[in-house]
Amino acid sequence: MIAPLPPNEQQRLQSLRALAILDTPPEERFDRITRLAAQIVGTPIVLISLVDEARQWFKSAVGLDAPETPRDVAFCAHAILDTEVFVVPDAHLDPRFSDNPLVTGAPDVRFYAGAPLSLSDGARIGTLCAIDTQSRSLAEHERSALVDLAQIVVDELYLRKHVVDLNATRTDLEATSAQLRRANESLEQFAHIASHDLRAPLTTMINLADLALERADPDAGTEIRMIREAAGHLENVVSGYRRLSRLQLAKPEPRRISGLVEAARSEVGAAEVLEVSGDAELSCDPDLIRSAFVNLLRNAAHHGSGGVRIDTEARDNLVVVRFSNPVAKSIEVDQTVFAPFRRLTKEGEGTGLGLAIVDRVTKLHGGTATASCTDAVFTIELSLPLGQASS
Amino acid sequence: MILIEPGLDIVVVDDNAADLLITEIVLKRSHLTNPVALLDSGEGAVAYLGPMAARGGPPPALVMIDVNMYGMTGFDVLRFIRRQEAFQELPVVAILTSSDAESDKQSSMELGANAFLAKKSGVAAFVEMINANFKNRE
Repeated sequence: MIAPLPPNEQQRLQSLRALAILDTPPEERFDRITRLAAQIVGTPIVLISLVDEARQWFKSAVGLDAPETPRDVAFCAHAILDTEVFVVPDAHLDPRFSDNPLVTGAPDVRFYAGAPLSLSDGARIGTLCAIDTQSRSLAEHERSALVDLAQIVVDELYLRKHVVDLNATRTDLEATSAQLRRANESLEQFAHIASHDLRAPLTTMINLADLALERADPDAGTEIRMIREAAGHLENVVSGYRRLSRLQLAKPEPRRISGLVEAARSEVGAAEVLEVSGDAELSCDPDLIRSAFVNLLRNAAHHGSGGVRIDTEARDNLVVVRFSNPVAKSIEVDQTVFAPFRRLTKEGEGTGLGLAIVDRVTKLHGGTATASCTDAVFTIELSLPLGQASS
Repeated sequence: MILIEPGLDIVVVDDNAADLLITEIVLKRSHLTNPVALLDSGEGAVAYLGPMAARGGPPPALVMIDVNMYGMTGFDVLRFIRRQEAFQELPVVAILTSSDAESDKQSSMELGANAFLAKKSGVAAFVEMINANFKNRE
């Protein structure tokens, strides 16, 4: 008699296939369970049988060489219909199996006891079964051992699946990170080549414009001067982009904010600083922080309509540095002000990279930069972790 | 500071005609009084310097080579120069396109350049840089 299909057959097959176990090579972790079961129950044949759509496939087998048999002759197809251990004491006397080719011919099944492999979703995907060529009965301790060992098989199936998934995830991650690394390398290479190839002709243009200006009559001079200025501006942009793409954190050392502000002030002649208040010591890359301050001062000089106030405050584990300056009128600001080439105002000689550099430097120190503008005062606030800067 | 023998040629090698012109003008405006010979390729430089080396001198006062040239690069010319017996003491300046090309700097030093010079934007800055690095021997 062919076993009817379990009511949840589709879901059962899905659960079985999700385990990715079918047609995999033998594994010691399953073979030791079948060996143990053969010893405890004392039958010549023990199988871990997984009931697939049209076959039963053996993940582990003691005493049987066939890797699988058709489902329509499988005892296990009957065993998975119930939660209890399925026992056939003598197949010759059982009308469901007496004409089964596995009974009438090799391997001459007489006795069968199968404990279903029940997954947590209720799907019974197969059995751990003990088979004998003699009729016999199943003692209670043998039955409970089969049930326990079947549960161990299920646990091993889950463990194995987790390892397979983890490995797949790790392989994915490794592939992704290799891909990212390659993308980053070619991007850096591109930035390097682009900035070199752009700068070389720019340098030539600027120099030629300088020389032409000396000889030009006053009328033509205006145009040449504008070409010179445009080329000079473009050179600043290219250099800024190159700097931005190459920013790297050097070994942090403790520095006082006030000292770094002072260094930045002497580098930016044009900046009008009204007030410097508060101070704190910060473990940082001083060159990077100074260059961030330089960019903030330049930014204020370009866009501001008054002097800058710089305020430093240590709170919790943060050093907060605020650069505030009045602007002609309030502007809408959000985090996009830190994006490269985003410019705050239409006019001006900025490269659109100053705040991008500020943001990058802050992030390299594990901090955050925020911008705000209220009552016509524009403020950039840098929150930098007090402790070791992380690279 | 590199001391330059007066009276002998300063040889400039650059495959960009405009840059060659600019370097010539910059040299004329600098403190250096030497005549200037302009060569527009690495191959041209070898053709010019080769017979000089074969005659056993006198060598030029100074050779300035753009490292980024098509065909024979500045590095190739440097290598050629240092292989000549007569040019062992010849001061050679590698001209770099940008002052921060560390690897180019490194390679040119290893190949025997005595100094490097970055092409500067702004003729005045370029002249200043020449004056800061080179002087005619009294």
